Amino acid sequence: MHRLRARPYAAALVALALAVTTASCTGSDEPEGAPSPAPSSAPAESPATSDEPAPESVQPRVRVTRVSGRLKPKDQEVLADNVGKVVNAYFEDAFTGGAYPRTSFGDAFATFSDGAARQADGDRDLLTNRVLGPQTESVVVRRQTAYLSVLAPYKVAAGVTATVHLRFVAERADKPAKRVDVKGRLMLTRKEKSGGWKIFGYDLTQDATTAGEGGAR
Amino acid sequence: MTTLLPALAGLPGRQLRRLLVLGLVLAVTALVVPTPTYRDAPVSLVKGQGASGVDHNHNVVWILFLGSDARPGQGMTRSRADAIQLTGVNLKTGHATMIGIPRDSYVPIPGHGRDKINAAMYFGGPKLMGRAVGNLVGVQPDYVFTTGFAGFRKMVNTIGGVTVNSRFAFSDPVRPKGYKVGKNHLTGFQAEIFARIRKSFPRGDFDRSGNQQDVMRGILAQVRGGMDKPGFMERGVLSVVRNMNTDLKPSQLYKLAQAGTRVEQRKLRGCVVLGGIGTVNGASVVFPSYSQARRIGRDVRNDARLDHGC
Repeated sequence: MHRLRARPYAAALVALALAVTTASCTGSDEPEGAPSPAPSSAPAESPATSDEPAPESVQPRVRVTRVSGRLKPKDQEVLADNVGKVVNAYFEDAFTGGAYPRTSFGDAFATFSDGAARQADGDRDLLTNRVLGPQTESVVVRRQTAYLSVLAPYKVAAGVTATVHLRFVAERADKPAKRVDVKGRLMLTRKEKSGGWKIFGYDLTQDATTAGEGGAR
Repeated sequence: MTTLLPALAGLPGRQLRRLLVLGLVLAVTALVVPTPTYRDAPVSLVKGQGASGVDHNHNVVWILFLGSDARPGQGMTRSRADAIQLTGVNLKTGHATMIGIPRDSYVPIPGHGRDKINAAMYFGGPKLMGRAVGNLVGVQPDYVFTTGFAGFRKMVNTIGGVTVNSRFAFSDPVRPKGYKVGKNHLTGFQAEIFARIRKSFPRGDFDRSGNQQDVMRGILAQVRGGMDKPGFMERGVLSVVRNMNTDLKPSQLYKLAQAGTRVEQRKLRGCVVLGGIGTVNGASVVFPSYSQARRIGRDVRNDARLDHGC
């Protein structure tokens, strides 16, 4: 479960964020050619300044943006849902979920293939919130997007690259908050038996900066 | 004044005044300039630090790449192979070695006596071709990938062409400005000619095999340059699915392709199996150096890393 800090004025700020992001949420971080969000969609990022109370966590956004081959629109929706669950489960297990302050990240790679999980274990400091976790009191998600490039040569998805961006603020006791950006690619194929999706490759960067610097949180 | 601080006692008046002025400046600065809200301990994360990894069942994979000379209407996997490159890839260390086999190499073909090695595909398809090459080098391929002229052109065009570092200058109508020594960015058609032509080169078939490896180096560079772009890998693998013959399912190809991007340009080596030129039944053939082929095979079999040169 997420442990998210409830904040006053959250509803008003979410509404404000929605209005702002509706106008400008196709930022430079969004992959080229990604579709513009529908006006009713959840905000991909919730802006705020250091002087304002931060809004609640935004909802994850997952979309199919490219298909190499053919995949029906309805199948694209199902795919986005299924792959989204896997990607979002990783982000939750590794960064945004759990009870903070958090020292255990043993379940961070549950949605990875066995081999990828073994490799990821060696990159744990970058692929989880382990470094900041013990000092973090709560996590507020500011952006959580996954844009999917799909390989579907025979009208069925065979492989997916998720171009991801997770931005969250780690609120810390007696210390300034940290804004953490996790960006890059997650590669997925189907499990042989169940047909579900698993992450078999990753190419991610993590960038932690002090929240409030440059007016960004 | 000397009662202010014991440490100041005994200082000459001028020095004492300087110290007091300095203290005053520091005190004012402390009041005017806002106190930093925090003094944060450094976090071990460095801006933009990255991690990458790709899971594959095997650390070392051997792939036999074949370029079929099938003409339109001919079966791609039942024609002769023009290009023969046995390539080992170490997905863990990023090393890779290409072993080029001249197509006219005269070798035993299981079940068919002795013949040019490229006849093995005509007799028994990619599988027999794999055995013939494997027996020569002493390394059996895990996979055999076969493509034809048109398929090769399409695949190269899909990734945006390829830059090769040519050792020779030569001309061909497909490239009006010619091929120069050094870097040439080629279209699919131009790359095909670069990999097929041999008469312009001093060592004929051997240099052609070397050119094929230059194309493969260029393809790797192009793929590594584009792999971060959304949709690039999927388009590339789709092109492979459509233009290459292989037993692998699309999902397996996808995984292998993503893992293959781990190969680093500087760790990619190439050797061509050399040999003597002769004739058999009036046909020009190459008598390949088994000792060289086996020596290279022993060197690279387990880790795809060329330690002892060609």
